[in-house]
Amino acid sequence: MTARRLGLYAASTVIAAWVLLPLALIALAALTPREELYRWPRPLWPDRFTAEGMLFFVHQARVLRALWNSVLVAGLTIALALGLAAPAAYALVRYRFRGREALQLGILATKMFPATVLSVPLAVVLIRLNLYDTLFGVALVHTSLSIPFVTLIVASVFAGVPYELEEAALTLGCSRLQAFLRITLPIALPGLAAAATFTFILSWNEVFAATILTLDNRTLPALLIHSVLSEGAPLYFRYAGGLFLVLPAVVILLLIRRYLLTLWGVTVR
Amino acid sequence: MRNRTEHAPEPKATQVVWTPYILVLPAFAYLALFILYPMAQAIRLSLTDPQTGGWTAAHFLRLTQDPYFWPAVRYTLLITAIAIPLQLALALAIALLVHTRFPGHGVFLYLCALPLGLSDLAAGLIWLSIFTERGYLNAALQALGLIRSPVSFLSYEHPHWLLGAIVLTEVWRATAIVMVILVAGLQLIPRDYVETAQVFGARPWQTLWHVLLPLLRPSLQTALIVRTILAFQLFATVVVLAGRLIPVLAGEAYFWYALYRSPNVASAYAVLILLLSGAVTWVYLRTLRTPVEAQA
Amino acid sequence: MRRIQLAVVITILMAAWSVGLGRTAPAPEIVFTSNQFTPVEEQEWARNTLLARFTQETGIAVRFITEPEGPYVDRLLAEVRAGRGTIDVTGTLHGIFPVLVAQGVVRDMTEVQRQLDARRDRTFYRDLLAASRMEGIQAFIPWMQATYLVAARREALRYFPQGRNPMRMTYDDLLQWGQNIREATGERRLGFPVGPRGLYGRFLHGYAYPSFTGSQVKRFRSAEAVRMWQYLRRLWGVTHPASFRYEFMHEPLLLGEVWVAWDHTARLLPALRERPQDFVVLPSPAGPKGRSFLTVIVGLALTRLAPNPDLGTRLIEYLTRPSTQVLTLQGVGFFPVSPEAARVVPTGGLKVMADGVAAQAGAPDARTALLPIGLGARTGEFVPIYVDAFRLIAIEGRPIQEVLDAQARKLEALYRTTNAPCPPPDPPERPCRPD
Repeated sequence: MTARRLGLYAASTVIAAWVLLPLALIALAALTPREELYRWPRPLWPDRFTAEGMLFFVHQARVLRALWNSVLVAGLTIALALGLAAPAAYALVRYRFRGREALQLGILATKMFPATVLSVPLAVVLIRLNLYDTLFGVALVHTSLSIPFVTLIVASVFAGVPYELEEAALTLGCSRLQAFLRITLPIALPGLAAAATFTFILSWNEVFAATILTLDNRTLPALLIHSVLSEGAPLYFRYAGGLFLVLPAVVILLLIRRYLLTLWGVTVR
Repeated sequence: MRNRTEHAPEPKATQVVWTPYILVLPAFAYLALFILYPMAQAIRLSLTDPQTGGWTAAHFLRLTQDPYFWPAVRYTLLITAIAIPLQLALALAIALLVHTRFPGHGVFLYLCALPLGLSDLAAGLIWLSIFTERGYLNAALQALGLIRSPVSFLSYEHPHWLLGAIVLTEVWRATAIVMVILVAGLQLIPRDYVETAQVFGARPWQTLWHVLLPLLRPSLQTALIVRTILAFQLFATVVVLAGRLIPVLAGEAYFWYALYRSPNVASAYAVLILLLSGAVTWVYLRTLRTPVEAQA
Repeated sequence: MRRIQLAVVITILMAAWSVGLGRTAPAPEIVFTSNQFTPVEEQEWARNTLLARFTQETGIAVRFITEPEGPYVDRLLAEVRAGRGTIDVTGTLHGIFPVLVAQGVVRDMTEVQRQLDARRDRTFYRDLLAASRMEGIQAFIPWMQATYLVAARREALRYFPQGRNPMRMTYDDLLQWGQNIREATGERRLGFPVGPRGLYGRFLHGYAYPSFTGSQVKRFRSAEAVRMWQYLRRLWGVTHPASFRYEFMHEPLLLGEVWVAWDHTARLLPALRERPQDFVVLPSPAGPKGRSFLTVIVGLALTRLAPNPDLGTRLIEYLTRPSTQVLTLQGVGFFPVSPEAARVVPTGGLKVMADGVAAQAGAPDARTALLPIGLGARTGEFVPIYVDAFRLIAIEGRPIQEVLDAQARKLEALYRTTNAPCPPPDPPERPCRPD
């Protein structure tokens, strides 16, 4: 094994361990029985494991439904955000037009306002649109929160795809749209996957809007975060609940990780 | 090597191309309805007197007179200024490691992306359970015999440690965001460029500095903007680890809104965050301007 | 290309489903929101025990939403502003009602009170009913009450000053206790909830101030107040330095980071429930001017835009029934508001708590203080004046009189613009002015 290889492995192991350690601690704590959590000195490895805390969450019917709601909202948000942001990103990158820079800044500016202050006006908008307490309403709001960054990420990716390729397709008789779909889009796929990952995470963890915009059809954070992660909850609940909130995201990241890396590099001759 | 261009050729002087405006319209109209309109309402709230309805700067004045205000500005900028370069460096390192495609790089990428699944509140709680007096760090130190009784890491007597804990948590959690963007950006750089540089005898460090980084500019710019805007809105992590001892702007906005029930002053804080983020983003857009033509 | 078509189809399906999910079946149902019972076990108890019995008895389903104060109030405000209501009944602290009344969220409960009185099966403590009147209406029906106490590990009692009775603890005793612990163990084991959402402010204005100065507002910057703040500085010297993070004291108590803690009964109860034999509950300390304590009242009200006010009234009737009040005490440790319900004796951790509550209320030098009223939408600005004073004086070490004068000016401005009366034990002067 070359020194370079060794260096690579060493560096990546150290970094991966640093990332994993706190997560491992939480997983351990979530599976530790209550009495042991309060013992001091705290044993790293508990005498026995218990799934009691985790099972509490799994058995609540509302929780599984909320889990599904979160997935639904996140999926809708990704579709809507990409659908709205991709054309805008394409326009911002491929065309020079008046107001381009102002528009860029303007779109970003909508993200610079803390969402907590906007929660009541947003709720009023949704109530008036008759979308209060619907998952669609939450998805709409999440989409508006995602569009700025999705536009930015997708734009930077489109910028990385050389225009010559599209030009070549145009000269071969494709329309602008076809050139985009057949040439640019496949190359930009990792970037779109990154944007989609981003949107998913944003929607999954979003709690302010989701809380105030729903009564019954709650997403998982809206349902759990205040009752489980707030300081009022007993320690064993916080750990179990924390792990429970993270696990679905862990699973979903596992499923989409393939799209973050393409199997081919871009070559230009 | 040929020139790379991003943009379509300039339209002729006489024709107006409507296409870009049409493409941008859906996104813009959407944002106008859902964000710009409530935002305008909130901004107006920060400038109107609740009793008379007239314009007033009183809320901003109240803001500056609050004992938490200047510390909040200082700490927000400090946390951002320390955490972001660290995250950029770390994310770049991870992205480059992944880019070498060493065996196991897929697993490595996945593991490094895991903190994405955590909200800033959850990350704060995880590190709190490590740093608190009856927490994992003290348990480990005591088990190793390095200390006799638990050390109070998160104490008001050591504000620097509090700041350090916050920065550490932020770097741990949010590096993944920057990393995902950089990984995507790296893949757009044609392999030829790197290969050619190596043919010409460039060492890895030179390849990185003169070839990869300039080509990575759009992604770097994106990552910086995203990360900075989010950093100015950070508060759940700070509140969990340091209460209000380390005030931050977004936290103050939240407390004025939820605790003091003064939406006017809360909106004033929000406007301040908006202006600050806007200024920094504008600086990023200017200094990291992507060249229209890049020559290898 | 086909993949994109597939994605579009899936999106449309998801959208259709998510909109369709908003429509629920038309069974008799009411919506009940509250900012109480947020911890997950209390929520489960509320749904599966408390409200389930109501549904069994009446056939009316209850959708119970509980969340922290921020979203809780926001939701009510949003409905009022949009002119459309889904919430029927709401239950919250009597310190929040001024905000709700000022924004027109709740309706006058006088009629409902009359209906309840006509049943002749319950009465309410007089001072609770008095507290429910604001802005010329009855804002709520008293539902349950709580107070703030001191909870301590039994083992820590051995450091209590010799010859003194813990059940008759004074502030000097408390300080001495903390100092004894520090000398013996080297650690600061007193704890207070000074965190951002902790209730330490209540300790300052409702417990310490009246006990040292006999008033909450009027003697804010008096000589007795200065002595009090000097005392608090010394007390902070034996208080756990992580207290500025604490919001619920049961966790530090259970972890052993803190041995003696002051907090709201509901925030101490989980520790007592977990280890009833390990803890004792003591009345709050007494100062030169008496043993002052606050009563927290939680009340129920119908919203102005309630879609089902009659069904909502039935829920209120059920919740305030003496038998339900006993159930509530056993479930979550909130105490009854009717003498008829107060005769039941609890067990276990709850008994430890109830003993402490009785000791505090029944102490010969007990003095009740009440939350400030009449501040309307600006109610939230009262407590921070005191907590900021604490931070400036005890943590940052600024000169006491200077800070008190600056904060007193803020108090004065607050009361002047709202034209509110002084809270008891101050004399009912309007507008209230610190001397």
